[in-house]
Amino acid sequence: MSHTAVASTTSLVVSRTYPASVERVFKAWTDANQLGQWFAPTDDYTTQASVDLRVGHEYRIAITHKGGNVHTILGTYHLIDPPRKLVYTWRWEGGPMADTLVTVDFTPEGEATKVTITHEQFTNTEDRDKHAEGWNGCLSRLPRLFAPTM
Amino acid sequence: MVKYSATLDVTFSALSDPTRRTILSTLRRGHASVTELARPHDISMPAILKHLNVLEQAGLIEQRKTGRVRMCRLTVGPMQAAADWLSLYRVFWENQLDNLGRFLERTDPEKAKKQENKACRIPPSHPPRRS
Repeated sequence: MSHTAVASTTSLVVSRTYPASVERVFKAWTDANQLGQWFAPTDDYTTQASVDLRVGHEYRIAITHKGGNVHTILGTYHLIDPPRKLVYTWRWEGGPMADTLVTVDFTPEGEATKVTITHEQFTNTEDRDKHAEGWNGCLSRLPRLFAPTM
Repeated sequence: MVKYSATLDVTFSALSDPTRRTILSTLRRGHASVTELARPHDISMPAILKHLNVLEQAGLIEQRKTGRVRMCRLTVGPMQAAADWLSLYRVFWENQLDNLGRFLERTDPEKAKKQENKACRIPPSHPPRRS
C-alpha cells in the first residue's frame, strides 16, 4: 500500500540500539505474547496483544491500568519484511483520531540491533476533515498514559 | 471549532522556511515591528511581508497596525499542538524502548546460558562433611 497521497506530515523519529540479534528484536515486536510482556507504559499497566502478522490484517494492543481503565491501540499492517522492517497504522480505539503511521526499522549493527521508529501524523485532503476533530480528545487522553516512568 | 490537524499541516509548512524560523525566534523575545524583523535578513520588504503573512495564516503570529508601524507578536496555539503531539509521542516511544531493552535483557538466551554455566561452577556452599 502506498502513501503517495500524503500531503504533509508531522513526524517523530526515535531510535535505540540493543545488544540482541535482529531476529530476537523483530520477534519481540511481532509476537503477541512477547509484545504483551514489554509494551506497557509503566508497571501500573498490563498489556494484552493480539497480532495477525499479515499485510492488510490487524494487530491490537490493549493496555489496562490497574484501576481498570483500558486503552486500546489498533491498526493494520502495511508492510512486513522480517526481520528488517514493519509499517503499520496506529489508532486509539474509540478515539476520534484517524490513523497515524508507524514505521519500525530493525538494522543489524554487528551483533547488535538498531531500532528506529518513525511515527507520522499524515494527512491528505480526504483525511483532513476526519483528522480535524481528533486533536483535542487525543491529546487530552495521552498524558495519563504517556507519563514517563519515574 | 479549530481544525487541529489541518492547522498542523499549515504550521509545519510555515516552519519549513529558515527565514520564517528566524522571525519566530526573534519574536520569542517579544513584540517587534516589521522593520525590526526585516533587519537581519537581506531580502526585500515585500518578501518579508509575504513571510509574515504565511506565519499569520498558520496562526503562529499576529500582526497589528499602530499608526504607520506594523507590530508582530507570537501566538502560541498551533505550535503548541504540534509540539504536544511530538513531545507526548517522544516520551511514549522512549519509554517503550526502555521497556523493550529490559525485556530483551530479561529474556537473553546467552545470558541464561552464562548463568547456568556459572551455577555449575559455584562450589557447594556447605562442603561435604567428612565422616
